[in-house]
Amino acid sequence: MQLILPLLTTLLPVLYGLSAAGYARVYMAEPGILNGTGGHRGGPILLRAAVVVHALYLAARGFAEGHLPLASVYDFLSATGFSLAVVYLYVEMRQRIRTTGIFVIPLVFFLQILSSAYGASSPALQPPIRPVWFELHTLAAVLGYSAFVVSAIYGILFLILYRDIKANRLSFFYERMPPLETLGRMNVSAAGAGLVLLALAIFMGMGWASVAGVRFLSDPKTWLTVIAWLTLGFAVLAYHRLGWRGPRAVYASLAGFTTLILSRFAVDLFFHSFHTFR
Amino acid sequence: MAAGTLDLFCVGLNHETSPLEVRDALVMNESEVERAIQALRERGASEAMVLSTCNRTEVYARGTAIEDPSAFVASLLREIKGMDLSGKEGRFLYTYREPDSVRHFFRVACGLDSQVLGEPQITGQVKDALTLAARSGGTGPVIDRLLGAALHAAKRARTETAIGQGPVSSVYAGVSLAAKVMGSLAEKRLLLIGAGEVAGLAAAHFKDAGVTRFMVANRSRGRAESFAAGHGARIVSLEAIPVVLPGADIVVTATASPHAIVREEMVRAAMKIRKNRSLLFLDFAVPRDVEPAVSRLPNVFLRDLDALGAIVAQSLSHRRAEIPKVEAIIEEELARFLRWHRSLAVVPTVTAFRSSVERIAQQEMERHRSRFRPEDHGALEALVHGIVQKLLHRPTTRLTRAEEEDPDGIARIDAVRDLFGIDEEDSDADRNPR
Repeated sequence: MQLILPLLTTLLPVLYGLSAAGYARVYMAEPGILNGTGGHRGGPILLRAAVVVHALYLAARGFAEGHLPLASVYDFLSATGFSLAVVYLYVEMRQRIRTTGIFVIPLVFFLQILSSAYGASSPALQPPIRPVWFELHTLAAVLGYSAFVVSAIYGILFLILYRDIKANRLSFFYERMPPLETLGRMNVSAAGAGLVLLALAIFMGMGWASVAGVRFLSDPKTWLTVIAWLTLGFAVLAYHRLGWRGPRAVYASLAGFTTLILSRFAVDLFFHSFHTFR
Repeated sequence: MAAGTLDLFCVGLNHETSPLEVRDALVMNESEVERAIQALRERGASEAMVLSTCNRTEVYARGTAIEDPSAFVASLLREIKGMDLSGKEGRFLYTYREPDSVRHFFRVACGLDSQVLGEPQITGQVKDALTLAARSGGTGPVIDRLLGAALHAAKRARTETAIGQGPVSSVYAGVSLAAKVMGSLAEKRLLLIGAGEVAGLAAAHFKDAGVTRFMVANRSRGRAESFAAGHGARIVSLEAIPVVLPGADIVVTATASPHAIVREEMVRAAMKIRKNRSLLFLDFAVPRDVEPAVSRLPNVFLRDLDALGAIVAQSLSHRRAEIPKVEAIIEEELARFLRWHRSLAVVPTVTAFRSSVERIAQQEMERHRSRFRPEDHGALEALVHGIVQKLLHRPTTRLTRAEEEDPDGIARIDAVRDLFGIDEEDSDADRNPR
């Protein structure tokens, strides 16, 4: 195990870097040109390989340490990269669209290279003994955040494409993007998945805090997260029930995402919270 | 004819060399193509094919019996189509000999020689020409191979370059835009305002793209009925447009109305009812049928003729930039085809050359056999055989490689056939094993 873990730690950013290069190739190619030539498969195949290796890595870490490998901020970065890759792969397989990988996979690569480069040298934290559903709370939160990141990326892509179409601009970007309504659906579907996961994270966190005697109601992070959840929930509800479409729906979901991210930084910078990653 | 000579010629005319009335007059139906192929075969062509479309009529044939292909094809067209191209109209005809004839055929198949650069229909027309030639007994190994190579080049051009990408007509630009906004058009509803030629063209293109639900509104009820019958559309009155607009996803307008038919407030109201789902207007009318202010509404996309024209211009410019890439593919495939074609001449030449030398050696050995003791005959035969094999080894090896050593290789084959008097008719029979 002591040999395998360092090897996997080095291998992961390499695999993600190569798959990011593969997705860049898909994006740079003329639309429709790589189809059927095999040239478009490199990135997706490497990404699948990276996800499998990453899953093995996390399992090996969990097995060796006896808990989910989420003890440090670098673990959090690696797990976020992993869940981003999984969420992106799910969307890619469902929509059969590969030209958007270039906007997600380099971020995964960046997160993993930070984790691999600095995680190994940071002192290993001995996490407190925590029940399994606290760990599930963390896992759900990581997956939820990743879904929101994917939602935000597709939201931004939607806005750029919307602007190009309105202006009758057949840009390089225009030619490579999936249909506008598909991007809108990706934005709202990923946000919906993020809502469910974040709700699970909030409830499991509250449950654990109650049992452990932690006063979570006075924790600013709890309230800011709930506010962000409600904003995102409104965006998804407005899409489905109020007929919000196009830029308005996307701006609503981006507002929720921004609240979520700002709440994280606000908590770390201005408040004292009982659960911060170090 | 020397065995190695490449003998496929092409004589024809196209949209660049001849006016429409000449091309129209020369379009051949199936029976006329069959007659042309028969005539070519009777005149000594070993293989023949005719490609006749609205933009070109071209004759491809093999064989040097036809000394002046251009004059022969001109007389053929006069006989079959009644059009004399022998005088000053002869300037409409072009003639290519191999390898230019092969290169030209590849350019045609790849859409480089089409009126609309990169259009894909020509591939199907090339296939049809081969089917017809096969039925008329015109095909053989070379034309079969030529078609396979041309289709391969065309496939490569489409998958490795952007020669076929992007819309090249205003209506198709509208269809592409609809797909870019909405994705699948299968469940979308199209409202056509106007029932003229443009509306019909739009209906046909959107039907090809998967749209199945059509509505048509037109000032003349009779014309709307005839349009609806032809396209399976539901008729609505012009006054009902505000009522049906919320249910439409794409609106095509092409009327001669002097004022706008679709107003901004009408679309604003429709968007509320359709809960802001995307709505696309394609306005082909001059003056415009849709108020330009409509384009400012969220999730409403409006394109008029100028905007669609700009898309087409950009697309064509993009295709033109791909021509060098397609030409590189054509040159690769041409080299491969020519290597194969030349290789056809090698085997019979090598066989004939070896037989000729071995026959001379055998004759000389028989002539002098009586001067040797019977027990020495075996040694004599071995000696002569050994000398002959040693002498033949290098020429045989060099001839076998001849097709790889373009262009000297082919000259070498011709030289050997000339020096050793290898019979031409035998060679032709060998090369056309049908």
